[in-house]
Amino acid sequence: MKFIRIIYCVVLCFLLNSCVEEIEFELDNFENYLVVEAGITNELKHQQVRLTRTYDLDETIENNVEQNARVQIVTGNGEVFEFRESQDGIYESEIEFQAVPGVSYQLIIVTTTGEEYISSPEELLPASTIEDVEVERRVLDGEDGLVISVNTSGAATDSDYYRFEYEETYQIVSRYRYGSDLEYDAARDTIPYEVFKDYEEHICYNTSLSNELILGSTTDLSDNNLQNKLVHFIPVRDPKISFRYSILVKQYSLSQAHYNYLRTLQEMSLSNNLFSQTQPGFLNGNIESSDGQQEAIGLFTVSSVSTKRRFFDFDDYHTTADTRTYFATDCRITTVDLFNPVALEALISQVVAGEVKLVGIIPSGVPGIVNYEVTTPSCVDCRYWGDLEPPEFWED
Amino acid sequence: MKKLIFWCLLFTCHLMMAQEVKVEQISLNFEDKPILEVLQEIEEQTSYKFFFLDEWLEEYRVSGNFENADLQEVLPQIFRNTLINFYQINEERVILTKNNVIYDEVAQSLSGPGKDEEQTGSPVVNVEPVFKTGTAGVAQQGTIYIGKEVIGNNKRTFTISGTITDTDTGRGLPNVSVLVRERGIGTTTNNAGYYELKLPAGPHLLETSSLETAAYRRQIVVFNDGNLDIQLEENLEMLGEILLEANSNRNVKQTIAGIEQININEIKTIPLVLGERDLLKVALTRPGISTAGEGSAGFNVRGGNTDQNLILLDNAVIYNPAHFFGIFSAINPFTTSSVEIYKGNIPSEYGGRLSSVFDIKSKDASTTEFKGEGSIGPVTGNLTLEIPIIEDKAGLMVGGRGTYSDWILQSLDEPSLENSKANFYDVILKYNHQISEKTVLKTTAYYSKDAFSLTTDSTFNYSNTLFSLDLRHQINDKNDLEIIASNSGYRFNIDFESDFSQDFRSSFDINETEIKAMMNYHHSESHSFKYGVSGKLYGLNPGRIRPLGGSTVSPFTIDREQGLEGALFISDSYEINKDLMLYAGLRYSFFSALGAGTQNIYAEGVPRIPENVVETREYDSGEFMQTYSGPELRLSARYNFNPDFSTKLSYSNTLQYIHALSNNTTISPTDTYKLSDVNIKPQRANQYSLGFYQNLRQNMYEISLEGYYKQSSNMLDYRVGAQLFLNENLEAEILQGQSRAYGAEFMLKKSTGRLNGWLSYTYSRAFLQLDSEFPQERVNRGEFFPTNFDKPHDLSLVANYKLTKRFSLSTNFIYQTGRPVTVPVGKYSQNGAEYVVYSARNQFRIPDYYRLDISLNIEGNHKIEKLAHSFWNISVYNVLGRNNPYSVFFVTDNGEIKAYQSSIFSIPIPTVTYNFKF
Repeated sequence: MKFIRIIYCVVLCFLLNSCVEEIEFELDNFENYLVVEAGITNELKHQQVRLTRTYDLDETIENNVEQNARVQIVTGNGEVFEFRESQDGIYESEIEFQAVPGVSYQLIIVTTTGEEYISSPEELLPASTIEDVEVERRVLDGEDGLVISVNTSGAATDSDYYRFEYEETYQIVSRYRYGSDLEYDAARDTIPYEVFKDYEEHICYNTSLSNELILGSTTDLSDNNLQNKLVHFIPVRDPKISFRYSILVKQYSLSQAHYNYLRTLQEMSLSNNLFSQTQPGFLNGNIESSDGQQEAIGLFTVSSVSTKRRFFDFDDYHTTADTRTYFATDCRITTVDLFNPVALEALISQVVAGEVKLVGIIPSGVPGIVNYEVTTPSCVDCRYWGDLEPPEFWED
Repeated sequence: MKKLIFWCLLFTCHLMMAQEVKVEQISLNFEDKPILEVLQEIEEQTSYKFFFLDEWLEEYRVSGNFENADLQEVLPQIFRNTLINFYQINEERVILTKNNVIYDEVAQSLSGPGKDEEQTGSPVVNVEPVFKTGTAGVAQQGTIYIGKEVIGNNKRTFTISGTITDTDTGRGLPNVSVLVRERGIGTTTNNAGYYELKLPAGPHLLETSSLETAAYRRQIVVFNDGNLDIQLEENLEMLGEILLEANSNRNVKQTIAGIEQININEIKTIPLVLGERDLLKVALTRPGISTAGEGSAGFNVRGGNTDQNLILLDNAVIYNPAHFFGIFSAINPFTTSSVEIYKGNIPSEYGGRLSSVFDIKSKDASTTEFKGEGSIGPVTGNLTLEIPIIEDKAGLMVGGRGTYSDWILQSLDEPSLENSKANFYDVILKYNHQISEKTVLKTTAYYSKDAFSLTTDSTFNYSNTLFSLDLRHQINDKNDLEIIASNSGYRFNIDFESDFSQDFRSSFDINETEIKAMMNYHHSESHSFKYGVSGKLYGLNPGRIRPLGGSTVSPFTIDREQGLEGALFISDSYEINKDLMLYAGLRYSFFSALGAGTQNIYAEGVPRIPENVVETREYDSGEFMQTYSGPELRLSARYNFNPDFSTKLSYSNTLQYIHALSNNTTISPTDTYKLSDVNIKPQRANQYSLGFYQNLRQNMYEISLEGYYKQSSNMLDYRVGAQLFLNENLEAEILQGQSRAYGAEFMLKKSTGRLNGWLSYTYSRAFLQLDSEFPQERVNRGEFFPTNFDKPHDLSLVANYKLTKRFSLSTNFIYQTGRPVTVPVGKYSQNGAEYVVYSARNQFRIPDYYRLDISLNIEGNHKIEKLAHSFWNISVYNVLGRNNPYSVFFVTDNGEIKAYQSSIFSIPIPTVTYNFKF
């Protein structure tokens, strides 16, 4: 029967894409392009433009920001908004401004090497607003979790195009809480000693940003508003939703051309069907050098933005059958026998290096002597996972 | 013994004088009487005595009425419809002979060498009597005498015709070669088993050979036009060996260059993947025919795209001859008899595709006996039945094949596969009817269906349907008429079911109907014409979406497209002399995009994007929206340096009006089709080829070397990220460019012996250029770049070694240069995620492909009383376990770039298949 099993495995292989394996890949023909992330909105603020360069597959972005470039946005009305580099590669407008309908905007970049890049003129597109952010617990693609979706209203045209971003902020509560910790000072004592904590390390907050392209369009819909547009999916056992959670969904309006650019980018960067692969190629954005010889990567967009925030608690979507999960996964508690010289030696070095935290004290059987219960610091100190200070918008 | 009598008679008789014969009057009246009795009556009335063998006359009966006639008047009348000649030796004795004439003079050729010259100088050709000299080879059983010798017959070439039938079933055997080797004369039987051979008078060693039957060799002596029916026994054991004799020196002799013929029996012993015998997979081991990758459907013939092949199943187009992404072919091996692939010069009766014609013919059903054939493999089961409808005239074949993979998937305890499915089936029905000796009707109906879902939310379905009718009628000796009517369709559906009330079904379908009338005119020995006309109507629904359930998706339909394609064609095969032969074909094709419809007109001098539409023209139903036409020239010449060595030169020019749309790097079942219109020009190609063909050791080895250069224009490609389905401005996504392909193809084939098979090697390149004044419409800066299927080195070895009569071992070895893929030139970060940048297309190659397969074939024993004849095939595909990459791609996963490599069969796959026949 063995060969029949193998054949079944082959059949399965087609269905599970298990014939796909990750490989190491080295470029042999690196090409250097200017990468522009420039999206101005109808919000009154210091608008931002980020300039970087393409980099090799094994490099990191930090080394490849485009510094000291001259960045400006000119309008069809003759206004010029100058930008100034605020951090490496990030340029902020000198004054606050907002995009308004009926005016065309054009981005101009001159790099330190004198190359000039110009975007095509873009106008602000009207957009619908996010009516509400829905949270629902359901099984999606075989996985139990929370589906976060949006509904929009007030569509401007019958085919609107959008890009979504979200910011999720969640409360982190440490697995263990104990009022004191261990310290060691050979001058004071031969064993680590207990000190009361005068600081908080039990509840923290963290914010993370979406890093995927979330696109939506009303083209195929009978109603011009998006209904139940999936923005984010959180598996039910994700520690982010073990306590209070908040999500801010941002919707940016896009032109059809920009939507197509991003959709193609998304298609090319998604996992392919085993048998047929989308033909990849260079994506022409709307920014090119003024001599027309060199394209820059990226888009200059002028968008209406609509945002909506939503909070919820663990109990809102979990039942008593669900258990909370924690970011710290290895939280075994070790009881250290202080009479064992080897164990004591190990504890001393761990305390000095900050590798353990106290979570309990139990009698050793010898009067006046206790044994320490210790665990991994990330199970006690939430600062491993976030900040103690709640963000300004946080509502408990 | 007969020989001796003949010679004795000849040398004694020439002394007699014919005019001395005494004349006696005969009066006789007889109606449908055996000749034997008539002769007895003459003997009674007169003093004549007849000398003959009774068996010569047993079968004949005659009618006649004579009053005082003399013998010279009576006998010719009596023997008119027989093979009997007579010779009156003296007043009383008359000698009857079968076939030959008794001459009363010495033949010129026997009277001395000097006289031959006189013969050539004389305007009146003296007719030589037919002598039977020593046998020209080893013959089976006795000599066969054909025709009745007629004194003074000026014809020196006679037509021998007959039907070759199966001894057991009585069914006519098609494609049997009938040949006389030492004269280099041969033909093959038609579908009814009928053949006609022109032979000079005299003795010949006649042979037949075919894949299915035992070899047959008989000494024959030709006296006149005659009939020779041959019964042959089916030969199951000797497969492998005979098949390669079938067209033993065809590659050297035929005029048209660049043909590959594959017979179903040829592939019986070839190692299989997942137990499926596959005619089209075998085609890939022939030079010049390749595919983009292991799991990729479609064929790239001599640097052509996958949509440039006219794939015909019994004369009807089959749009997607693949199941499950090309892992299996949709052509049922049991119902197929052969495939002929024209990759060089395409005969003028075919057209509409640039690169090749795959002419797949299904078998004719037996008209005498109920038969069946089947197989049980690990993935599919197959059963074919042949049912006689009218004895010796009509038969029906029913073939069906299906998978049991759904059952396998469901029986597995794997929750993630709950919604997965992958299944396919195909059925074929063929009816063949010999209406009269001169008229044959064949009809075929075919349906194939695939359904699969690889992701939980989408289910794909696609199906092919086709129907064809083929009527052949022999008008007279020189003219044959063939009428073909066919209808083919292809459709697919994608059902999308999500959790967000956006369920929908999208679909595509295409249908075409063709009528073709063709005449074959055998003008003379040196000219053979073929001419005709064809018309094809296309109708396609390029895309539809409709909501399912309570979906919020709005229904949407792209306007129906229609087109009319027509062609007139004529060709002549002209044998200038025995060494030089020409094929000249001309096809004039035209195409019209038919209304009702709308066409977008784009502004000149700006990129073709939806924003630049300046006018939308409306057309009424049946209106010609845009017409294209052009001549297509097909020329080929063959020159024989000697009977075993020839060269062929050819030029072929083709036009294509229908285009497959695909923005994938390889073919996919959801590729759609588009007809030429105002914005999309027809594709054109010119191919030049030169080849040398040599056969060695009595055709045991065939060697061929062919080179070609092909230039095509208006090849379709697409903007990056093109949306080809459900797009109203489709033409804005399409780029048209030119391609250039060249290559050299070598093949060595050993036909006979215990070890047989072939080795083929191709060196070829294929490049595409997409240039424009607008950067958005340029790929690779407008320079030529390698196509997705450009694989310079391609080596295939197919070998079969017969261990014993029942056991044989076969192997395939395939080596190919890795195909080009597009890889990044860098990455960048945007909105917190990394993406890769691609620039030049196809500048990287995946690692080379190689694979070894082995199979052991076991024939069941040949006990006569057995219920079924069985055949086991045990194969191991990819014995070396080579993990051949199919593709390399880059994915942004959780904001990070990851490189992946996919492969289809990365481990050795053993399979056992049981085949049976009854």
